[in-house]
Amino acid sequence: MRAAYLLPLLLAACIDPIDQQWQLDHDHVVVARATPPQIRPGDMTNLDALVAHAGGPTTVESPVDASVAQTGYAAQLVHDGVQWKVIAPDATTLAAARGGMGLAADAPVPVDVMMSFAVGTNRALDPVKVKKTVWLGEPAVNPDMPAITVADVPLAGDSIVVPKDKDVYLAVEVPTGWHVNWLTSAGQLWQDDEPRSFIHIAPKDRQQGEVACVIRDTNGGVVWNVWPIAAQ
Amino acid sequence: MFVGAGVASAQSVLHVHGRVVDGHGTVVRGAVVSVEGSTATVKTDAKGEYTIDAAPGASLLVLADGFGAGLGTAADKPDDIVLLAEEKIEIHGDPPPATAGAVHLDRETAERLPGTGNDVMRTLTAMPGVVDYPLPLGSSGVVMRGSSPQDSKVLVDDFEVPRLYHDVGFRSIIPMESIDSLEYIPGGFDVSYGRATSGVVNVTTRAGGDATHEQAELGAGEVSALAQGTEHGIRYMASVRRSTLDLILPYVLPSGLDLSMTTIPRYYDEQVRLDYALSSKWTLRVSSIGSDDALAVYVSRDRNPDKRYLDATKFVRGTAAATYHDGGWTAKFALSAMALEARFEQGVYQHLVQSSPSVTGRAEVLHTAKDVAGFADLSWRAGAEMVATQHSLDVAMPQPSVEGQPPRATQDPTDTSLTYMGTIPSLNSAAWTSATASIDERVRLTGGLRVDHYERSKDFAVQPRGELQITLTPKIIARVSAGAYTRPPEYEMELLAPLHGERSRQVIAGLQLDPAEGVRIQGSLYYTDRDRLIARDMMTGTVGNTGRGTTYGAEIIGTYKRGPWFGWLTYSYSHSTRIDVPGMEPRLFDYDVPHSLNVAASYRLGHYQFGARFRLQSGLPATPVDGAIFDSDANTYYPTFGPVNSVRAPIHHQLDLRIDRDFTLGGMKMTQFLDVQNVYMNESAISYFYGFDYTQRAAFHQLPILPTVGLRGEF
Repeated sequence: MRAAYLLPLLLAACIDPIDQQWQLDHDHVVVARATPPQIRPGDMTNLDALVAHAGGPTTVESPVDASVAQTGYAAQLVHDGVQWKVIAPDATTLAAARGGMGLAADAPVPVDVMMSFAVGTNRALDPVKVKKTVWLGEPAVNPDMPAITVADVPLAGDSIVVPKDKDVYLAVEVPTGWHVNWLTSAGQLWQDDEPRSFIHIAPKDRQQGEVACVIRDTNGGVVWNVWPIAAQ
Repeated sequence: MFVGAGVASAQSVLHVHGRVVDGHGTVVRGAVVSVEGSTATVKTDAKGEYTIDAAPGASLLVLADGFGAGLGTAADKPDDIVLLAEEKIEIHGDPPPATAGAVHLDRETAERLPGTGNDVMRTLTAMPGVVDYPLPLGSSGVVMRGSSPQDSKVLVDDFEVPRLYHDVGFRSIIPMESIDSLEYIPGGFDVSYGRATSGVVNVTTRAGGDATHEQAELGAGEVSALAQGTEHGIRYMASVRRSTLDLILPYVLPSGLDLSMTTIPRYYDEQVRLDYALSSKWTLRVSSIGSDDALAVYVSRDRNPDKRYLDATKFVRGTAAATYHDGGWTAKFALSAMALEARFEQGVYQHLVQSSPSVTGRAEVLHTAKDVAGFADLSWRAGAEMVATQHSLDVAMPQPSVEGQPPRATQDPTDTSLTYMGTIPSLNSAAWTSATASIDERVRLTGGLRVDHYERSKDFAVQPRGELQITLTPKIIARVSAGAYTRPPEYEMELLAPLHGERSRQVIAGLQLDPAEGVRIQGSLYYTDRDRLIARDMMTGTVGNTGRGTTYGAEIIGTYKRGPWFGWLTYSYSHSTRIDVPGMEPRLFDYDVPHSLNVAASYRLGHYQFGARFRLQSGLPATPVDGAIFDSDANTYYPTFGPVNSVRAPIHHQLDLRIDRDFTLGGMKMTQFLDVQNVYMNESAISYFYGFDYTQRAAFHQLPILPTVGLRGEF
């Protein structure tokens, strides 16, 4: 069992190259978002996602379809013609749901929402399926995007410029327990799931594209930002 | 060297007429019989019989190629002289293999096989029915005849070792130079072996020779030294080896890897063996084998704690064994103790710390007689063994995968759904007896019974086993064997679940043809039925003894060893299926390999030896992925799989070449070899894996070309 974890590390030379999760030049849903991630009884939250595209820039998209994974909830899913939204039931219904799930009286109630996104050229008939948990009870908001540093210098402006063929650190400070993911469509990233990552744009790589930073907090909250990046 | 104690009298001389047999009761022809103190010698005939003049009570010394010295006493009706120990059975010669389909290789023969890089376990890849995979399929087992690695036992001098391979380099824990022989029994093994439901590989270490000599060897990724000889009547062999990969690896790993190694992968191993003849009847052997592997790596340049991997395993086994031999009686007593420590840490949350000291006691008595109650050439044995182990475990890991469960592309580093801290005692005991006898000159029967008791799982297993051997013609022998087998549920995390032992029943039929000296052809058919297999119910996620399985196949082994030529041909067909839960449809076994072919030849010319080996093997089965669901909060994709093992990797074939050369340098005898695997660089896919979102599938390829070089100096 243990060897199975180590072998891939040591035999990387024997495997075909394959897109990594930090690759923005690959059709996939980067992260789904509920705004806000936690809502009071009777309140409503909007659903959308950051989507990466092969050969193109990222977009923010609404799901083409959505449903509640668990049955027996009074939470409603509605589509207002533009977005899918989750509407929390009233406090009495929520309390009953807590009882059914064995939760404490003041605990937030999780609702798993299954969404479908049409991503890429051949996904119209086979959309990407994404699960996102929305919490019902006490409210919480998505976090704000902290300032990032590039080569240990606070980023000034709306785009990132890095030297060619050199390691450049990208960093952000977040509270303990939060998760950070960096993505790019130019060059390569290392430590992409750490607050302090570094990027390297070699001459053979795409010289410009995007860098995204996605942060997940402990309340189901999500924030992201996308910057243009170019190698000089 | 044997020293006899008999006294010959010149006044009375007997015409001693006796017989020489091996430990299985099979006659040994061509053995040289001499009387101590006399220069007269005779050879045993085709029936193993001899006639020699000797004084009553004089000691008879028997020597035969591939056997240790045997001792007899001159008498009117002497007992059979049994040759044991140091048994070196040439693959082309006598006696027959342990069972149909079994192979016994001595060191010299194993070293002639190209494509093995002088590695003991890689030699097994040339055996029929063994899955030839470039990576170890389980660090403590061999995949043979459609069985899991944990279904077979690998023994060194009759005792199990906890691992076969070092972590890096995929080298065996015992170097080729430290072994005397390797016996591969893919099934149908006799009652003295147990706790395995498929086959057995028994490695016999090398005893010290009459002449003292030392040798040092520099090979690919390791350096070793060996000393052997005889001092004060004690035959000794000591060997030590250390990897040099830590010097090489930093330069060969791709620069793109995001690694920071705090402990460069390295390993040590050692083997010591001392043999001493306490008297003409008692011999004593003390031995030790051990290995120590360590690797610590951060999969991040900045050494983030959640990207840390540590894997360290060390064990040492010490054994004291005594053998008593007097005429037709032989007894073996052994006490072996092993200390095992393993530590694995992955990231911040997951770890496995294990300490498993164990003690094994084993005793066996063997008696051979020429004629008892109408049975000829009787060989009877009885034995018992007890293994007591105290496992101390501290586990915080994900639930382990079981056979038939497709792997996921990503692991959750916070998953510690399997936690345990405590000690688990384990007591496995066994007793066995068997008898082999000839009904007439052509028919020989073996019947035996083995009883195992696994204290932890409360299993009590009665396992009858038997074999019928018919000599159809002087050159053709037919064999049919059948038996029942079990293994305890003690492989890795099986200790943490309330499981019972797995069971199998095997039937094997084979023909052995010896058309000429140095030429042997074996063919065998086998069928194995398994039940109580440990399997996971994919619907409930629970693990239990709900699995069943069958394997059937056919094997051919051809060997040719005459003059400077050595030839080797094996082919196996196998079909192995499993049913995880009653009512489910059968699926292919994870390591089902229908076709496997090995053709090898070597030729010795002066100081050179040239060899080549061609391999062809079906690809391993795989489970396709139909789609995936992205859990956005966990940032992980969960795949949805198609039918288990419903696709297969393509056939792989490769050619290996080897050149050996002997020469002298400053009084030292030097040997160098170059062993190149996959010379035409066939990078066929071994298996497939998926990208993070399961929309891309890529191949894990064979190594394009793998040269292994070695240089040995003996002085």
